[in-house]
Amino acid sequence: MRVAFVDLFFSWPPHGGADVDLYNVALCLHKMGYEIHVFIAASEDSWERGTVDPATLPFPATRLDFTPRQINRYEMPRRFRAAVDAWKPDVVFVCDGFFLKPYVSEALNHYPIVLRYFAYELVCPRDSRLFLNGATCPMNYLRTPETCRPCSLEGMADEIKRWRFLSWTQEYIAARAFMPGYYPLLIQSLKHSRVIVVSNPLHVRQLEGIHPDVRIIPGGVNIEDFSYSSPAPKGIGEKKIIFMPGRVEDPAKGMATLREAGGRLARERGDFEIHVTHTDFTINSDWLKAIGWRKHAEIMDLYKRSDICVVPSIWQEPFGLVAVEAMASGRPVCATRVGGLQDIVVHGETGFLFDAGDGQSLAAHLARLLDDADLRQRMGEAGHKRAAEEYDWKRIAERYYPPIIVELARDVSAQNRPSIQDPK
Amino acid sequence: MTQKPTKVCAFYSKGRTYLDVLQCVRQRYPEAHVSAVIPARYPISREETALVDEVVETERTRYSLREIRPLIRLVRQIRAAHFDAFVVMFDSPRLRILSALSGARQRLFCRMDGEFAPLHSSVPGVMADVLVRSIRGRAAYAYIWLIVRLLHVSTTDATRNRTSPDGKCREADHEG
Repeated sequence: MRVAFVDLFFSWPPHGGADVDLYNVALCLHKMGYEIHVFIAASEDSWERGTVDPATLPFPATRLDFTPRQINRYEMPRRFRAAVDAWKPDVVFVCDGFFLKPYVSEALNHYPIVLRYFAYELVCPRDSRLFLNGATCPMNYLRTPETCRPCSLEGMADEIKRWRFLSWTQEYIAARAFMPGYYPLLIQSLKHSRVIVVSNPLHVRQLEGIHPDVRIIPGGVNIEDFSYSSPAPKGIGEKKIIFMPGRVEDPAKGMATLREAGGRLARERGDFEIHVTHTDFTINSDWLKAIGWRKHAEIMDLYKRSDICVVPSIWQEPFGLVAVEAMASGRPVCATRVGGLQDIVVHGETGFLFDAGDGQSLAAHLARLLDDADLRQRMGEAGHKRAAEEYDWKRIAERYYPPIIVELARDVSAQNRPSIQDPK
Repeated sequence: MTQKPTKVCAFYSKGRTYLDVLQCVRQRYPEAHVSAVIPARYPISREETALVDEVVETERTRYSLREIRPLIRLVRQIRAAHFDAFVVMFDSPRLRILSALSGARQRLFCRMDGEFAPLHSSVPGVMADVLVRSIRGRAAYAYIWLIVRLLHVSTTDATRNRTSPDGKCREADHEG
């Protein structure tokens, strides 16, 4: 079975969860005996796109180099089609990509297509977060394009006016996603895909009535990278560490809630410190420490040095990888009841769930965990076990991907459809 | 032939992780005296400290164009160190201007792939680039704004008949 993965942004070392997802899925399927090939877009002009040497990857991959001018709705689909056609896959997964993704998937629609969405890029053309004015946006581009089009332009206004943009806005311009014709093209690309894969039930609900086969596949971790160790016993006067990793500068990540909870705790006790991966060192206080952005290897070490992890996001996290990493490291997790997080953390077993923005509730959960070393240990062990059982990449690849691949390949052979049709 | 830099500045900013950049700088300049110029209160780690010969804290943690005096003091502090090479972590107009004012012969930024790209721009060059981009960007924004406001999307045909026979989306494999 030949499976192609097409990705408009893949980089390794990874820049984000989408890269980690593709790398691990491709690697696991490769090890399971599938013939796989990853096709990657790269541009020297953009650090976000294709920063990878395919020769260093543990699976076959081809990098398609584009000049900034070639990143457009004609050249990119044409080059991907030529490369994929030369390899003749049975199934094509179209992975990370923004506004050019529908053009690329349409160029490949003579294969059974699986569209993978990692955030809310399908329903929120503003910034793929579905988060506006401090709350989850109730709109859905697929149903309310006339409301979402001006909103997305407003979100990108600053970058467009400065004519200096990141890939999201670059693709918005290159794909002419502001034109009315983009919307029917997007719908058509969804219609032509056989399966759509998303990360949480909210996303499935958003696609109800749009596509008949929307599936959830979670992200994961390589559990062998996370050896469980219980937190080192604290010496006299040594503070317990509460750790918040991730892009904490983004208000949607909810650091304000953690600060509120920290302030409440600090009025009553002084046996803790909150460490956050923030780059504004003016926020530092007796109990709050910004530690800057850190390499993933450093983050792994920081999980081990911490006692409790907090993920206080106020947006609908599509998945919540940091919660899984913290659990895999054997740390109890306090997370908000949003998006994919509420499925990852089991309340009272691997940590605590609380409502988004509820600092008082978070403070109460943190106080309970700070006071009870046995509870921290129990929850940490349960979290590690859950991460190993539910979120190990090997298990995810085995559980979710073969059914899709076999099903699509079987449908193709049942229809006696040739693998490649004449494009004309 | 260009002389090898003997005094290198790795200027902390947003961008890659600092440890990554320091590793790249040390690899490129194994013999040089490397100074880590970091914002006040930055908790430099042991790993980072091990890669440099000197750690220099700036006066402030954040600088803004609205407060010009601290910025002037920062430029003076950098120029006084007489660096041969000035490495930043990101390519932006502000960091280009700072690099140009650093007085260093070599001005580079460390890309995500670990390679170094030169920052040749002069201060007037950067400002001209910002101006040209701004004019182009505002014209593009006005054009897009008009399209978004005047040309409308029809949803009636696009979203019709997308459901399965039972009218529901399939939510298989949902245990994870």
